[in-house]
Parts: sequence; C-alpha cells; structure tokens
Amino acid sequence: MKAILRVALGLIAAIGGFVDIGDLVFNTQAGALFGYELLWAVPIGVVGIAVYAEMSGRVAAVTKRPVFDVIRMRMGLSTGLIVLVASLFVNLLTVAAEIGGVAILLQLFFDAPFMLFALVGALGLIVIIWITPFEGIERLFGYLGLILFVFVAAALHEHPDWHAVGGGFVPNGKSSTLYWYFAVGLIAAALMPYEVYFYSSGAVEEGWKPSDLLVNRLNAVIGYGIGGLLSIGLMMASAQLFEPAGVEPDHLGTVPLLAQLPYGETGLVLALLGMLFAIGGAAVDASFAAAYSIAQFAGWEWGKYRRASGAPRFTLAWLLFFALGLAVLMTGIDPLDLTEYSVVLSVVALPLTYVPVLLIARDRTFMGEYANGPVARVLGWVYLVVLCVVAVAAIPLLLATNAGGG
Amino acid sequence: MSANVVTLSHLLELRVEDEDGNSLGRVHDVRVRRVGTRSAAAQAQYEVEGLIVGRRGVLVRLGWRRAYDPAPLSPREVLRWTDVLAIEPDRLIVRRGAFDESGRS
Amino acid sequence: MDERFDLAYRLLDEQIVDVDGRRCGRVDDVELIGAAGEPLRLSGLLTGRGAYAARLPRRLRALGRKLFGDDVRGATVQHVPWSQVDEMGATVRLLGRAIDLGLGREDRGLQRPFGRIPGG
Repeated sequence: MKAILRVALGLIAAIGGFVDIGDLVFNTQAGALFGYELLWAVPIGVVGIAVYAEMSGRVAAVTKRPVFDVIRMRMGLSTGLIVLVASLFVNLLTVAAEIGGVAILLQLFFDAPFMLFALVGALGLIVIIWITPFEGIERLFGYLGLILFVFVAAALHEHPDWHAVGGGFVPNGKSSTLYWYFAVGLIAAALMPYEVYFYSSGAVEEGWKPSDLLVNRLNAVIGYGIGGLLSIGLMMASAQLFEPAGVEPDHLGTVPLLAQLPYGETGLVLALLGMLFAIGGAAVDASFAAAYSIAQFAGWEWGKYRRASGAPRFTLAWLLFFALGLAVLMTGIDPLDLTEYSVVLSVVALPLTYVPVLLIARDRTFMGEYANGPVARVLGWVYLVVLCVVAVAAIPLLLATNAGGG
Repeated sequence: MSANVVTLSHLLELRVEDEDGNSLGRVHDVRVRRVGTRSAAAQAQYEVEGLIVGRRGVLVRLGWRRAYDPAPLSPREVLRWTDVLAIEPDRLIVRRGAFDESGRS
Repeated sequence: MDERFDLAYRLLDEQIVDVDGRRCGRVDDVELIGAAGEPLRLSGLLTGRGAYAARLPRRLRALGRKLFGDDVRGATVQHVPWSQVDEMGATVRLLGRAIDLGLGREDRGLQRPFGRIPGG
C-alpha cells in the first residue's frame, strides 16, 4: 500500500510539473491565433517526451547512467564537449526565461521593479532548494502545479464544440509559415531536454533499480500524458476566449484572464499561483539539469542527496546558473522573446542528446533483458525522424516568422 | 631500455601507414591482454595485444567510438602490436603486409 | 577481471569511483609504458582537466590548453596506477580512497566552506 502511495505521489508530481513557461506561451498563443487547429501538435510533443523520458529513465535505472554519462561514454570527450556546450547554452536561456516568468507574475501581485522580483524569485527558489530534500522539491512544485487544471476547467466551462475540437487533432492543409512555426514550437515546448536530464538524474538520485521500471513507465506515460491535458486545456481555453476577440496574449499576464473570465477573482488567483509554481519548478529543474550535465560529464560528485558539502562543485554549478540566468535578464531582453528562443533552439540541440540515449536503450550489452521492446523500438526510431525534421525546420521558421511576430 | 610513456589519446585516431607509406586507416581502439601470473595478491597486468584499425568513416569521425560491434573482433581486424615498427607524432608505421586492404593480417 | 578488453571501449571516459563509492573524476586518458618492438604495458589512468587538451583534434589543442589548462601532474592531472583499479563495470572502481590517491581535491577543498552554511 505504501508503495502504491509513493508511486501515485510521484505520478501526481509529474503531471503538475509538466508545464513550464514555454508551454504556457506557445499553447495560449497558438489557441489565440489558430483556434483549435494546432491541437494535433500537442500529442506529438507529449508522446515524444514520454518516449525520451521512459528510455532515459530505464537506462538510468538499469545501468545507473544518466543522460550526460551516456553522452560522455558514447561520444567521447571532444564530441561530447560540443554537445555539452550546446546543451548548457539552451539551458541557460531556459533558466533565464523561467526566472523572468516568475518575476512577471510577481509583478502582477505587487508593484516593484522587474529585476528586483527576478532577484527575489531566484533567491526564494534557492532557499527552497537548499532546505528541501530532492523528493520534497519535486512534490512541492508538482502538486502546486496541479492548480493549473483551473485552465482545463475553464476550457470545459465554455461548453466547447467537440466536433471542432476533434477536427483540431488533424493537421490542417492550410500552410501559413506562422502556423508551422507554432507547430514546431508546440512540439519543442513539450520536448524540452532539460526535463529529461533532470528526470534521468533523478532516477539515480532516488536509487532506481530495474524493479522501478514500472514506475518509470507510469511516470512517462500517465504522468506526461495527463500533463499534456494541461497544454490542451490552455490551448482550448485560449481558442474559446482569445481567438474570437482577436486578443494576442503577448504578455504573460494575459494568460490568467482565461481563468478569470469564467471564475472571477478566484480563477485569477488560482491561475497565477498555478503558473508561479509551474514556472518556478521549471527554473529549479533547468538549473539542476545544467549542473547535472556538467558534473556528470566531468566526473565530479553530484546529487542533491549528497548534500552541498558532499558535492560542492555540483552545488556551485546550479547556484552559478541561477546567477547567470539573472545576468541574462539584466540585458533587458524580453522574457517572452527569451522563452521563444530557448524553446526553438532547444529542439535544434535535441537530436544530439536523444541519439546516444536511444542507442544505449536498445543495446542488449548494456541493458540486457531491459533493452527496448517492440513499442519502444518503433517509437524510438519514429521520434528520431520527427526530431530531426523539427530540428531542421526550427531555425528557418523562427527567422521567417520573426519569432512568431508574423 | 627507455621507459617510454605512450598515451591512449596519442594512439587513438593516429594514421596507420605501412613501411611503403600506404595508408591503412586510423587507430580506433587498443586491445590489451592479461599477462603474468594470476596471483590473488597482485593486480592483473595488461599488455597491448593489438590495435583495432579502420577506415575513417563519418560515424567514427563524429566520435561514435562504439558504433562497431563490441563482440570479439576477428583476427583480421586487429593489427598485432608486434607488427608495429614505430610510433611517430603523426603516424604509426607497421610492417609491410601486416594488415592489407582486404583486411587479412 | 577480463582476459582481454579494449581500452577506448571499456575504460576511456568512464566514471571513476573510489572504494567508498565517491565519484572522483573520469578516465580522461590512459597511460601505457613501452615502445614499438617492445611490450607496451598498461600503466595507469589519467584524470583531470589537464588531460583534456590531448583528447581534442590536433588543431584545437592550443585552444584546449588555454581553456582547460596544461598537463601538470599532481595539479591539473592525476595519475592513478593500474594496480589501484579494482574492477571495471558501469564505473571504474578503485581499491583506495580518493583522498589517498590525490583525487577529488577540488571537492574536498570546498567541503569546509559549504559545511559551514546551515543545511549544507
């Protein structure tokens, strides 16, 4: 019974932790601009992250190798270094975007300069990380992220035209460049690599063994699957409320309106809180992902379970990433622009880290009986193709649409 | 006898040529074999038995060192250490005919 | 341990772990002693950022030395004698402790300052 409870709690945390600022921005903008017509992109992204996370979690549980250990082993030092640097760069953009998102939301509660809130937000997150054990951090942000289901409720509240919704799950023949930019962005936002670095390292932090492979599969499939409902809910609510009015949510503060319109002040507060914890949790995950990457690549001691004094360089690394994230924000770049760049560039770097994981997950020499089964085999290769297509299309579309500016 | 230090990093990717200057590929890996007595007290000593040499393919160039089958390679693909004549800064010189184009050694 | 194995496949770039299970670097290079025409013996592991430059393509080595430092034994690179290696699996496990082998010095140096912070 205790085991089932543990699994359920982990699952719930995964659901709540699914959404970050990239998902919030891309899903609401897609809904506002194209109604239901991009809903099909969400399951593609969700299944993609489920496949990647399941494989990396399985590799970590069986071989005790998180993603960047696999990368160093498989690609060697010089090629691996290129992948590491590329990953850290996009990770940094992500950390900065998430901290920026936290600051924007805090500004909606209180009146004070943006950078002050960025600093306060970052410090607050650092304190939470410092005093909370690893599992506690995940539970805290995961559960509170569930508040975002207020957007799903808002979407259902408006009695959607289910026929139109269903039609949205079939890609449209209409091929405006902007449409495809958002398709790429939606898939990329769901498939953020920092989530997988964090997830696979977490598997080692929590001491997963082959007996935990069922939990791994549940987290990936059910956890991310239900998390995907949050994205769909966001897009639907935006399609119902913003699109007819011609509202373009180009400020993060517009998003909570989706919950305020049906539910008033309560809806507004819930939306803001949900967003705050989802984005804050993502900031934590992204800076830890960077620290995990560096430490694992270089061979340093790492892990929250080692305590700060037990893994000092690892600790310095994630602290430094928060600081660098703040530094990026100080350049004055708009956090929403930053979000778009971090999402689009992340997907360009994604195949580099996906391929080594896929190759190990299917290799019986390393995985024994736990190597990819038929489902993982098919999906693993299908998604390699999907990722390469998306990665190649991403930058041209970004440039052609002026980052979604049209 | 000089105690020459050779690093693996020097050997990997080193161009392999025979005495006549024909290019035979690059070093992909170094195979070692246990030598000496199997004493429980002493740690096992290993000596280089041979080098795995191959063409410089795109995958190998990208660093996919384990792209090849890890199972014991046939003797054809392993260049015996005893056939190596000299280690130079930019190439490895091997005996004529030790490892030819058809992969026989 | 195995009768034979391949150095780049099994040993190079693997995580080094000491007898207490502490991570203390990766196998950044491998040292052999001997020459052409003589036996070439596996002498030990090299670990540390000073070994990075030698792993880079020739043209990038000078840049590598600027970024990661020169090969200074005892400082930027440590030599771990082969006799200290216990087993090779998912990690290379050593017989001794990191502190006795001169490994993980950077982490140890930062241990006290971090230990002073509450919760560290």
